[in-house]
Amino acid sequence: MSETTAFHPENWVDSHGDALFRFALLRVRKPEVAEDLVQETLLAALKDRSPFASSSTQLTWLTGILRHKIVDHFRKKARESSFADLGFCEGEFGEKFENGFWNHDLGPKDWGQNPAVALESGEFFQTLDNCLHKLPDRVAAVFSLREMDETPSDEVCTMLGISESNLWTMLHRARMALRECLEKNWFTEA
Amino acid sequence: MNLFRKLAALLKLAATPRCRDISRILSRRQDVPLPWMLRKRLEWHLAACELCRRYADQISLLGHFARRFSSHSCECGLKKLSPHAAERIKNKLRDAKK
Repeated sequence: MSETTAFHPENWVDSHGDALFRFALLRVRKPEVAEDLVQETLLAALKDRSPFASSSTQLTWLTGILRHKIVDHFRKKARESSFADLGFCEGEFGEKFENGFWNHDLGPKDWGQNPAVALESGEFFQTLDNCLHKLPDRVAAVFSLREMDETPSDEVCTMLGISESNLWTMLHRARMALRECLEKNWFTEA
Repeated sequence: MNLFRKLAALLKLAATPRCRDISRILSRRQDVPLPWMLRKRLEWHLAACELCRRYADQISLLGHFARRFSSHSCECGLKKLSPHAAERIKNKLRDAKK
């Protein structure tokens, strides 16, 4: 690859800007924060440039840098104020249980033979996005770190300075709320 | 003493988990390996409880959905970088390259 084709960092914005923005937006949720993170990522990449053969390896490389920037962003938030959010969904859908057992009418509904086919529908992702947006920022952040990025729990705790039991509580409530939201808005929609 | 009480509470939970406890344990299973004892109790409960089996499958699907949604290859309603932001970033890169 010649130097001239290898080095036009402005082109990164055209070829990878949208993908990186979306990646950041899903995790930090505020468009202006996501834009800043994309900018920081590309500026960092500029300093550490290495020519890449294909566009997809380039995207993987840039995504790696972005991932670190997102973690730094969460770390900074955690230093400003506690990352634990124990107020969200505090009742943990207690009304769905009777003496600790599922109330049969209020418990989880059947999602059909193959609920994973939802993944083939663009509309489903809109519903999922809406449901994710109902989670408070910090709860959504721990959910994305665990489920989208598969960061080990102990690493999430160290990163955000929260206890394992607080992390588990937040994740449990996030899962309950998301499950409920998808069930209501997608899987049992009339 | 405190440790003893904690241990006793854990044993009680493990001995007689109800659906509500099970839902917590199922969530925890998504994040860390469970102790053997708890795993066994969970298996026994799930074998007998259809709604908890359902709940288990559904919360594990959530992870699958989230990973798919966040992958670059997902064609799921791309949100784009605004032209304004794109231009701003390009200018920053041009400046930094100098």
